[in-house]
Amino acid sequence: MLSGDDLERIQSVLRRAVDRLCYRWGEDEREDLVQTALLKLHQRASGEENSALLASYLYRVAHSIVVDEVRKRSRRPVTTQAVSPEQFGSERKDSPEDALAADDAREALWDCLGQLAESRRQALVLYLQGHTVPEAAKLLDWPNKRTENCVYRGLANLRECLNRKGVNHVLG
Amino acid sequence: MSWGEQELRDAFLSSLTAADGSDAEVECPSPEEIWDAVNMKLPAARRREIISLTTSCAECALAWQAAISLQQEAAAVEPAAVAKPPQPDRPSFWQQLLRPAVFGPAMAGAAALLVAVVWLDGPAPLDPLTAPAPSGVLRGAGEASIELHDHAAELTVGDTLSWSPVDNAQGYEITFMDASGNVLTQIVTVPSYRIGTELAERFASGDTLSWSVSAVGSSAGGERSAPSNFEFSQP
Repeated sequence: MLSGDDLERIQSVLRRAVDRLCYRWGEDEREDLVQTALLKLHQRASGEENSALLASYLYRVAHSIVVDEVRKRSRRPVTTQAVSPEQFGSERKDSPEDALAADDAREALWDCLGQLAESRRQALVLYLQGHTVPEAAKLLDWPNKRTENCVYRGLANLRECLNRKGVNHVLG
Repeated sequence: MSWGEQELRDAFLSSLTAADGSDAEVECPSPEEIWDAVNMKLPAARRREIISLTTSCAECALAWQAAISLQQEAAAVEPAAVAKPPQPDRPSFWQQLLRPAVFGPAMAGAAALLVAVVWLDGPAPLDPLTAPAPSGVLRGAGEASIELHDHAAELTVGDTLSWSPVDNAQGYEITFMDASGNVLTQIVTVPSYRIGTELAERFASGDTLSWSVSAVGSSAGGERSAPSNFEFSQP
């Protein structure tokens, strides 16, 4: 069973992680996700008395629940919050034109990533996820130097591709 | 206007939460497997396969980002909450310590340090959690153990895997993986695991399963044992 302290601690971690991960969602929807995750976590932990004591296990389970919930909600037909019309790096804009521009920009970004050589794409995506070059090197089991080259060449290729597609104007 | 690195990162992360499930045809690994990949608990080849999926599927990338976010937030609340990724390609602290060239001087130094620490500051801090050493397999209800590294071993529900206990461990995380990368993780509080129906539900008869185990403390995981294989047969 989870103790009150465990629940409070995990709730705080979950809330911050969900706020960061799903910042495009409305506040109510984020809070609903946190409460759903907490409830499911509590149900799972109730059936596994021993594992409930292990923080590393709890976070693994919490991750699984959050990802499942986010995937489920993203596939709902009416997810206006999740696909709200917002452009990259700019404030929320609600016009249909902005929504289309954001969709185009998102598509262009993934299309450009898809055009990169596999090794550059792998290193670059880890870097864009927020990993440092040494962390990416460790995850890929590559030397630092190779990873660094792939990241920086990948960044250059990505910029070229986005500029070629004119996507830079979206941010302007 | 050119894209700065931070702008590219923001754009990438923003594109993840706006994913609408349109790449649902890509088969994303389970969240548990993605968590294990981020935590370096999967072999390098499988990690790279998963990383590769995150480069073509926004949903998979979002699950990766969720693991990073959750770990960072957990670390802010309780610094040792999430297991530090092991570094399987380098000799462990203990392996390095046991090298002959290091062992002698290290022992002398350690003895002197221990005396000084105990004298000045009381007992030394607890050792870090080491990797358990898998020790044997018990067939069914009590036949003799067989050698664990017998790769031809065929095991089924009711057989028991065991390993050496680790000081200060509160439990053990045992992970099974088949050749396709399907993973099942179980937590136990004793240094043995009796194969249950959960394996039969996840894996098929005839699958070669790789398994490894790591000790888990009150708030952190330990080093993972080297993987061993066996062939799983349905009861």
